[in-house]
Amino acid sequence: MENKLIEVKDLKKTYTSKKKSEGFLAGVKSLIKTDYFNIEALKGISFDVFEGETLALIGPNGAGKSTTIKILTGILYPTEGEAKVIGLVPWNDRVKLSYSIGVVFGQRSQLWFHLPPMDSFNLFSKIYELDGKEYKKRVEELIDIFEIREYISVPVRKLSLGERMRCEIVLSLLHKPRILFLDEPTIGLDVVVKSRVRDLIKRINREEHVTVFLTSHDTLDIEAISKRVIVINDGRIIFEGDLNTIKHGYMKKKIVDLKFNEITGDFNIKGVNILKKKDYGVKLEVDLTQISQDDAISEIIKQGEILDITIEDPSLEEVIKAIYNEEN
Amino acid sequence: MRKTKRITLKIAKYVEILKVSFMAASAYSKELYGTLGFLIITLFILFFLWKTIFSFETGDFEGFTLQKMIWYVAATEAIMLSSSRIRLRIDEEIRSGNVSNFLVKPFSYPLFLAFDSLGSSIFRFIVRMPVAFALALIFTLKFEISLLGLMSYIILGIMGLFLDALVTILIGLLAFYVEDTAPIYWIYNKLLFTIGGLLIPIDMMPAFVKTISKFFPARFILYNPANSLINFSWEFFMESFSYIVLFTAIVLLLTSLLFSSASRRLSINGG
Repeated sequence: MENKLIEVKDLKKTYTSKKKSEGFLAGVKSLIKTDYFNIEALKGISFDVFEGETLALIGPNGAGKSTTIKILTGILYPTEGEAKVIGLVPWNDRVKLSYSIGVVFGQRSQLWFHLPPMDSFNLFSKIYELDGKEYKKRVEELIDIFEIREYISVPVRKLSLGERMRCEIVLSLLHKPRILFLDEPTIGLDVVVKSRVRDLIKRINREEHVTVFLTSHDTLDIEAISKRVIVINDGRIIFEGDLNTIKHGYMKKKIVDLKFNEITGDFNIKGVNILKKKDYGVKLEVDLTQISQDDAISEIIKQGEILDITIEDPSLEEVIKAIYNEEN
Repeated sequence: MRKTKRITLKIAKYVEILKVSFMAASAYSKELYGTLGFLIITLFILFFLWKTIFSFETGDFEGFTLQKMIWYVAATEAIMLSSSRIRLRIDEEIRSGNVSNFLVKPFSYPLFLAFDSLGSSIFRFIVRMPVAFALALIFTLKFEISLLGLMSYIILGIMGLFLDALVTILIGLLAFYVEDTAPIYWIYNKLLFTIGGLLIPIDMMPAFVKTISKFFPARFILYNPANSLINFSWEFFMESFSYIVLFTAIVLLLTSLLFSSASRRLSINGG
C-alpha cells in the first residue's frame, strides 16, 4: 500500500461552553455561579489518508469538519484519541509540521490586506526559511500556473474574492508542502471562478503529487476534486469510501426526463413518481427498490409517443441527503 | 556553523515581519496626517499648561526648567502616540477565529505580533518625533538636548515601544480567558499616564510613587527614554537599558506561558 500521510484513531473533541440563561435573575445568578455545558464536536473518528490522494470531508454545518482540520493542522488539542500527520503529532509538533503542510481557510485571509500579494509572498519565503534562488523560481512557477501576474502588485484590498483566493493558495504552496489542507476553499466564489479554483487544485495534486485534504459543503467541489469521500455528521463518520461506490451504493433512484409528441397514459406505474409535468415534458423519479430500470422504461414508453428520453443519476447532493436520512 | 545559519534564519523572519509591518503602516497616509494634527494640538495644550504652571514659580521644579519640561513632554507624547495598537487586532483575531491562520505557520504567534506591532510603532515614531521636537523648538527657541541624549532617547524609545507591544500582547491574549480585555488595557493605559510619567516627570511625584514605579514597566516606556533625552548621563542610560531588558524578558516569559496554556484551551469560532 502507498505511504500513509495521515493516521487518525478514535479522535474526540469536546468543547466546554458557558451556559447563559435568559432573563435578569439568571444574569445575576451567573455572577455567582457559572454553569457549563459540553458540546461533543467529534465523537471518535478514525481514518487514514495516503500520499498523493485527494480526500474530501463532507458534512453539514457543525458536523465536525473544521474541528478535524484544525486538530490535524495542530491548531486544536483533541480531548481524546490519536493522530499523526507525516509522522508527527500535530498538536505537539505544530511548528515543525507547519513546514510540510499548506493550509487555506476559505473564510479567512493570510495575505496582508493593505499590501500587494507579492509582499506577503516575500515575507512568507522568509518565514518558511526558503532559499532565495529556489524561492524566486518557485514563486514564478506558481504565478504562471495560477495566472496571477497582473494582481501581484495590487494591494490585496483591491482584489476580488476569486483573485484573492488564487493568491491565498499560491501563498500556501510556496514551501512545497506535502499536504494541502483546504477548508471550504470555494466559499463565496461565483460558478466560473469556482471551477477555475477546482481545476487548479486538481492540477497541483496531479503535477506535484500534493496530497489534498478538503472540506466543503459544496458537493460539486467534491465531485470535481476528490476521489475518496468521508461523510461526517454529528461528530461521527457515517460513510467512507470511493466517490463511485458512494454513488452506486446509495443510488436507489434514477431521474428520467421525457419529451412526448403525444401523451396517452397517466403514469400510474408502481415505483414511479412524477416530479414535474408541463405540456409535453415530464420528469419522473424511478425507485429502483420497487421496480427495475428496464421494467420502468418499458412501462413509461407505453404512456405516449416519445420524442426524447434521458436517464440521469441523482446528484451527489441528493445521495448525501439520502445518507443523512438513513443515519437519522 | 549550521546552527548559526538556523538562528540567522529565525531572526531574519522576525526582521522581515517588522519590515512588512513598517511598509503596511506607511500605507495609511490619511490617518497619519490626522494623528499628526492630534499630536500638535495635544502638545500645544500641554506646553501652555506648563507655561502657566511655571509662571507661578521662578526657577525650576526638581531640576526641570520650563524649557526642559517642554522637551520632556514632546518626547513622552511622541512615544505615547506611537504605542502599540495590536490589542484590537488580537481581540478581533481571537473572536473571529482568524488566529487559526497564524497558528499554522512556523513562528511564535506572540513574537509575530510583537514584531508586527513594533514595525508600525517605529514608523509612527519616526514621523511623530521630528514633528514633536520641531514644535518644542519653536516654543522654546532652544535645543535642550544633546546628540548623545537624542541617540539614547531613540534607542530606549524603540526598546520601550517593544516592551509596550509585549505588555499589550499579554493583555490581548487574555482574550482567550475573559470576554473583554478593554478594562485591563484601560488600567495599563492609565498607568502609563501616571507612573509612566506621560504628563508629569516621576521626579515630581512623592517618594513612594517613585519607588512603586520601579516595579512596573510603564516608566521605562515613557519616563526613562524622555529623561535620558534631556538629562543624559551614561549611568542613567545604562540603568534604563538594563531595566528595559529585564522587564522585556519577564513580560516575554509571561506572554509565552500564557500563550502556551491558552492554546491548549483554544476553541475556535466558525465551524
